[in-house]
Amino acid sequence: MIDDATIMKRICSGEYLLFDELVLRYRERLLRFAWSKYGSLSAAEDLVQEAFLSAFAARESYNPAFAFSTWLWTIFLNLCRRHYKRELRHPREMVRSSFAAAEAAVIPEPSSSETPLQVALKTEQFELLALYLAELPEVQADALRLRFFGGMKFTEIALTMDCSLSAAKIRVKNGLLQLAHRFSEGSTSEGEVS
Amino acid sequence: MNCDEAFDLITHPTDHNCEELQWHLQLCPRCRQMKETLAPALDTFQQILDDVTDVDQLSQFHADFHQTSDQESASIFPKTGQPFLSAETVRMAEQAASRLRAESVTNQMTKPSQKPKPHQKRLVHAALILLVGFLMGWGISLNGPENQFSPSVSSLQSQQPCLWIAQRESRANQPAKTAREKGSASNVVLSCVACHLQSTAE
Ligand SMILES: [Zn+2]
Repeated sequence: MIDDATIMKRICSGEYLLFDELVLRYRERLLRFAWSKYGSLSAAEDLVQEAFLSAFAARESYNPAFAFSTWLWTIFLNLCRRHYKRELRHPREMVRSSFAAAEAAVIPEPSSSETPLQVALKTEQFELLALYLAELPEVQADALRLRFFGGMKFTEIALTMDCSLSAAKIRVKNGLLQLAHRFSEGSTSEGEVS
Repeated sequence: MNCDEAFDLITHPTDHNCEELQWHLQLCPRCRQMKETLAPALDTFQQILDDVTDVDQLSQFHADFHQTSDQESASIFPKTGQPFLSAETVRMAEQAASRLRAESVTNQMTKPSQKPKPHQKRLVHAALILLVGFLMGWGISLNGPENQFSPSVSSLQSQQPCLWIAQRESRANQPAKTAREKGSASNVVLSCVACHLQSTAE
């Protein structure tokens, strides 16, 4: 398998179609991140597409001194945050209404055109997780999404979020503590949710 | 393994059940307690990830994808003419690249090294003086015109075709064409940036 840096080098020398390979490598993880943040697949897809396009357009500024994945995630996180700020005052409300709208559009069983990712993310569990994540401070929720949905190392999270390594770990740890507490509270307060 | 490394593994998306971690947990009540406390959250993440990364499903998806990618890739790859990209977004990507590059340089400089010998110290001092001089010069040059950053953004206004999409589509339409022909076809396709500028002007 060719590594990302080599692919970028070849893209910069004119083999533009190799960018497809980078899309295949990272698209699902980015989608999972954005879907859990917005609860809307179409918003997530737009943001993912915008991130890839801007990485391609700015390809000459890429440098193998850093990982392509870290760069892509940094771009994507910035786009997500810009979108988040612009679109909503109440993240939790937005996530909930997006999921509610998706449920209202009657889909009796997974259609054959759905990817495994789409099917897996249409679970109640994922929806609940997205709602609880929306209640956390944004940096904690993003650190958790990067760790689990992005599959990133703590050093990569620190670079992407422009914070120290220990701050990245603390964000993940505190976020998990709050989430765990929320999940243990269980359905008691969920009556108020639905 | 120390407790810090154990935390890495406890929160690892895929290796959270590895033997190394199990050994540490058997010996370390603190980490065991931590893992138990976090379990409701960790289990949820890991269950969702297990659903998604089911190997059979994914490999099936990739097989399907490669079969259909020539005709039906619209949902995965952007198409020409969709106004998604702004010059501001590209500038954001370039700024991210320059920050990451600066940080990788800093990291390399601060990597632990052996204690410098006296003559090395003198060299370091000389380098520091040079660096200070350079930074002062830079500070002055910052007062100059603003436009030195991001050459490609400033050239965006003057049409930068999205060569990736153009090449994808020209291949999809005319699979037998030569590379030179593809190049000329891509010149005809408007860039995503140009589309965006056009659509905002309308
Ligand atoms: Zn321990």
